Amino acid sequence: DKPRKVDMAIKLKDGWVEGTQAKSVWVVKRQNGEFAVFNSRCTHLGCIVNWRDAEERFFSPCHAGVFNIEGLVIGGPPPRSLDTLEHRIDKGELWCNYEDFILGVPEKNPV
Amino acid sequence: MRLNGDAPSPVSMVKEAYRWVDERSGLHSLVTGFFLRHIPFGVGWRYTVGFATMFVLINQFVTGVLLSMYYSPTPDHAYASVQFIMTEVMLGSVIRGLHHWGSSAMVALTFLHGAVVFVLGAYKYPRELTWVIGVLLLLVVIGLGFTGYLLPWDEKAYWATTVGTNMTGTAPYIGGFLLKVVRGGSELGAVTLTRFYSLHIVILPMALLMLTALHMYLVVRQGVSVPPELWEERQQKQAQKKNGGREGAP
Repeated sequence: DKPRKVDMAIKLKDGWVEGTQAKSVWVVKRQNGEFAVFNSRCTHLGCIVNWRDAEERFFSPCHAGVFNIEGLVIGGPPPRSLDTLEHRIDKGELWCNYEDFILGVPEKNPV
Repeated sequence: MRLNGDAPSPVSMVKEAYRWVDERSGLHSLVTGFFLRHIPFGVGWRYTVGFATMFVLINQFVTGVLLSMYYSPTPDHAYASVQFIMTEVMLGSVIRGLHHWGSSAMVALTFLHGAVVFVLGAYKYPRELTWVIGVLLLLVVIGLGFTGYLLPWDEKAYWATTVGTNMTGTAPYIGGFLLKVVRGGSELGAVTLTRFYSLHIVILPMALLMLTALHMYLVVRQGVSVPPELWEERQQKQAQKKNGGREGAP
């Protein structure tokens, strides 16, 4: 199935500002009914990746990182695959635990 | 009735003011020490790059101060304040343009000045300290460029800073910590913007002024270096002097 981008506003206390930060995830529904939820930041240096239907790939606009539908790196400088996020289905809704990870390194460690 | 012929001319009044200050401060010796200092034979256009760099620096200071009177360093107002400068402030677009293009000129000239000094061997004794200060100046200039880039808070600024600070995060062991120090948190936000603004108009300019003063003091004290094409000739002349003017190989 085609990946779908979900934008969200996360409440954030940014210094003295009580505001929201815009974040996004890519949701992929697999054949077997399971979901994969990806943090939309490219693992190279953090630009938001875009899905292109024609090539069936995720593209990062900054340094030409390329990921496939599984989130694996197929081209460019990203050092690891797209970061997956914990998620669960609750009463017909998909919930995910949004987290950011340190980019540009092969290990997936939270910021 | 006072005749006009007795009135002093504006030029002579300025000269008198200058003489008054010099009598109390020695200003004239500073002015001649800088603008009328001895230059060795054989210099050319290559030797103007250093002063050109300082000239652009003065431009950045003046335009920067003018911009800082209108710019607002918060995410809510940064972009709008820049728009205001561009459209409604008198000559705002000119001053912003001078500062924007001046910053590129500053980085380019700083590198070029370093390259010319290197190629001409002007970093050698007794100018090693001048060179070290010059390298520190280069780092400060790059820092000023990076911090200034974020301030318009447009898409390019935001994402360039996201990428740049993510690079900081890749450092081994301390990367995560450094990322949070630079950003003022784990995210790019209001704290980042004010932090970068403080670096850009207070911390880095202070470092720049101190280092530039040291750099210029050393340059004026040691004098301009002799062009390398003339080193051999100078060596021979010095050897001849040593031998009491006798001819022959030293």
